[in-house]
Amino acid sequence: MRLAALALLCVLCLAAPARAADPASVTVGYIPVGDCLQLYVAEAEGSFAAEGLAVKGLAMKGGAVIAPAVEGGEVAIGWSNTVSIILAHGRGFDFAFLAPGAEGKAGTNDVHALLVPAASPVASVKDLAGKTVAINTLGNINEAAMRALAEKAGLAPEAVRLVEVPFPDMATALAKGSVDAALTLEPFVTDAVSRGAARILDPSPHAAFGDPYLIGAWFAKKSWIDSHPREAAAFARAVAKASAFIAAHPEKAREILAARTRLSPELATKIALPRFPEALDPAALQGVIDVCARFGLIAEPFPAAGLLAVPGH
Amino acid sequence: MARRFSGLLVALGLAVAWEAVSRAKLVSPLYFPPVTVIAATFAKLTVSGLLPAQAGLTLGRALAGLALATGCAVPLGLAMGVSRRMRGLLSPLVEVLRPVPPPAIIPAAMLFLGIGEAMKVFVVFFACVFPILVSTADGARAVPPLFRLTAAAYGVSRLDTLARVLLPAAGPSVAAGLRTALPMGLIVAVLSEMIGATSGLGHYILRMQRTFAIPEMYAGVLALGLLGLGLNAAAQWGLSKLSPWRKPPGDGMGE
Repeated sequence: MRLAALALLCVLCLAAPARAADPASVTVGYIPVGDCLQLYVAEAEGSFAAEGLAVKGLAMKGGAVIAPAVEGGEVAIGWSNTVSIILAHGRGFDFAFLAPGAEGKAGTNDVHALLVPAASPVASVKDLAGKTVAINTLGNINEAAMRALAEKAGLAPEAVRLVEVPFPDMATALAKGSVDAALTLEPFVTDAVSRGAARILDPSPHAAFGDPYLIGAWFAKKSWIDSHPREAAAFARAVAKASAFIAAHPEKAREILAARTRLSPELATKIALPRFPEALDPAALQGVIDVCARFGLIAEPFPAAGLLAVPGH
Repeated sequence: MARRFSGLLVALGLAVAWEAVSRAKLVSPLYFPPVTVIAATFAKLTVSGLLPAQAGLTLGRALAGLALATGCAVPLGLAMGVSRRMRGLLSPLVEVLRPVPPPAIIPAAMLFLGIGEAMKVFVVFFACVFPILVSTADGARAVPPLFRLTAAAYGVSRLDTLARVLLPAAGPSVAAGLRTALPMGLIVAVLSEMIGATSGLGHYILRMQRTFAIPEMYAGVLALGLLGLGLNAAAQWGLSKLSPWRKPPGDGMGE
């Protein structure tokens, strides 16, 4: 009996390290669009499990909902466009980017485009003075891009009126004449253009941010990263692995995207995919910060390094 | 007077508690900035003219919708009150549309009116028209037939009877409908500004939330509260002038 108890104790001791290696559960807030492809790929390819993470993905409407959820601790890690997090940082929020998300490169990986109705008399951005342009969320990367575009066309940055219209509703808003142009992204660009409903006014509306520029990234509270270094580093590694997979197997990645976003497989093969870098490049973020400062979205520019957390270093 | 004073004390106590909880960082001061910070932001934005300008736009939309609703609902309501035929014609329509929460009409309104001013004014109109209509119809129905018969006996024309007998007699009910519609109009105007708008308090509040300008967001909410308060007081005063023979039904707040 005593021997049995001793044996049991031994088994328990042996089991203890195995228990410590149980997958750590992490809740991740994301937007169900192509920009979050890394998450779908990491899940489908088992990269999170390989890193000892049990990731629970929570589909959310946008950065405006994800950031408060991360601040409140409801989700540990979230995806956001870079401008929203830059603005939050400027306002004293304790967020830091943990892993790179989508990166844009003008001319080759344009996932965004500025659309006008097919029959619109608007010939250039200059013609949009005093007109209304739809963007998905105010105060985000697309607002900064529109201001920069207006300025580049010789207009006052405020000359274009921006209204908030969800991406899926933009084509209707354009068709109804409610807005004169819409800054939208894939798959809506390819969908609207291939149907003949709209034409592209500017194929690289985000060019002012630099080349390449960071569209979005995975972020968390600095305090969470400090208290969960293992999980943070594991998440960053899994996302980097997913980026490498997307680069190596673009067709497989498109299949995963089609399955996850209910995109028709046909459309999924046609749309432009962003680049998914494997490491956070401060230079790709600095351009975005500088544009935000130039258009008064933040009071003054700050070094990109202040917004990057490199876990496990 | 003493009651009002104690009510102010409760509000003041809550403000002090908010301030203390925020300063002690019991809640995230980023999301719940101290009351003094909000008040200072509110003062700054009021002096700069930003908040008054946005409030003016919101008020304009609310009042335009309310005026349209009043213009339609009062004559129709009077007609429904005196004519059984009109009641029969309109009641089913009113009973089906009345319970529809006005915000639910915004997506549909966007489809046929776009996202401009017309949509916003229409949504306010939709929210305001039914309370006024129903309460006017009820009021007109409750006017003793003797009033009308007397007017008829003196040879007063039908139109004059409507304007000089029926409307004043139903006045308090019309006023009650307006009192119900007014705050609703403001609420719906703000809601409609949160979708596809470029101006107004609703747009401002949403934009500040989106850009993490939290004290500015609360300042917008405060401006909205004060606007509602002022509107209510103005309505009470105005309606008491319109129907001086009877106090408009109070809501128990301003006694």
